[in-house]
Amino acid sequence: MKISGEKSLSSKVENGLKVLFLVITLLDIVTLGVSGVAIFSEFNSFSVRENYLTRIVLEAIISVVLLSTGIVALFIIHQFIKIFKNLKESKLFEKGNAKCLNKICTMSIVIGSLYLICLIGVCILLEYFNTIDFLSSLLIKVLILVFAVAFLVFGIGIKILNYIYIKAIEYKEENDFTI
Amino acid sequence: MPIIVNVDVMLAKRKMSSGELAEKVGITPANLSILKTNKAKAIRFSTLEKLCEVLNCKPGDILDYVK
Repeated sequence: MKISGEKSLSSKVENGLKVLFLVITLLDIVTLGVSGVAIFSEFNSFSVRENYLTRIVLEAIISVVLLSTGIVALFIIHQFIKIFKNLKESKLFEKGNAKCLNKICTMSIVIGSLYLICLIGVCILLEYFNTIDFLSSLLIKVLILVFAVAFLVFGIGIKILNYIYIKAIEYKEENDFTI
Repeated sequence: MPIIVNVDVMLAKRKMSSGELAEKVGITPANLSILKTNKAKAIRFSTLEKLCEVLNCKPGDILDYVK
């Protein structure tokens, strides 16, 4: 199977990423609406609890952080679409691809950091307003930590791949300009 | 880069056109243009040998080092 060029694996992946981009955009909008309505209705409810406002603010912060990771993920997918579009056009060693990889690296680290911020928020929320059992709260914390570490490691990995890619471009240029 | 390629000077001395040199050496006019405009990163010994043979000169006449 062809990797680059028209009707190749790259063009199929590009189309798949475009669908994923649309799905994540829709999910982000739905989540924004649902969490917004949930927080607003809880804020307007008559049930007054201890440190009620703090909890609402904390929940809102966590929701905003999680939503922003979705938006940053959209940027990452957009960069991948650009790379696969170049591969479709058989532009393998383009400087533009290296720039895209660099942006992906930065954005992955941003997502990882946002998850870490979210983890702190969740820890405070579960510590002071614990409504679930210990095992479930531990599972939530571990899951968020795994996501954070995964994105940070992915970002660093992409940084290394970007370095190799830049070197490959340099070697190709040297080869092209050898007469 | 401090290495200068003086192919155009040699061409003028030999009253030869770029196209003719490219054809005799066996390289494309585009590659000869890269060489003349000092954009080349490296030159193969085989290409240098052919250039010297066609232009009837030594490698030092084609390549120069300027600080």
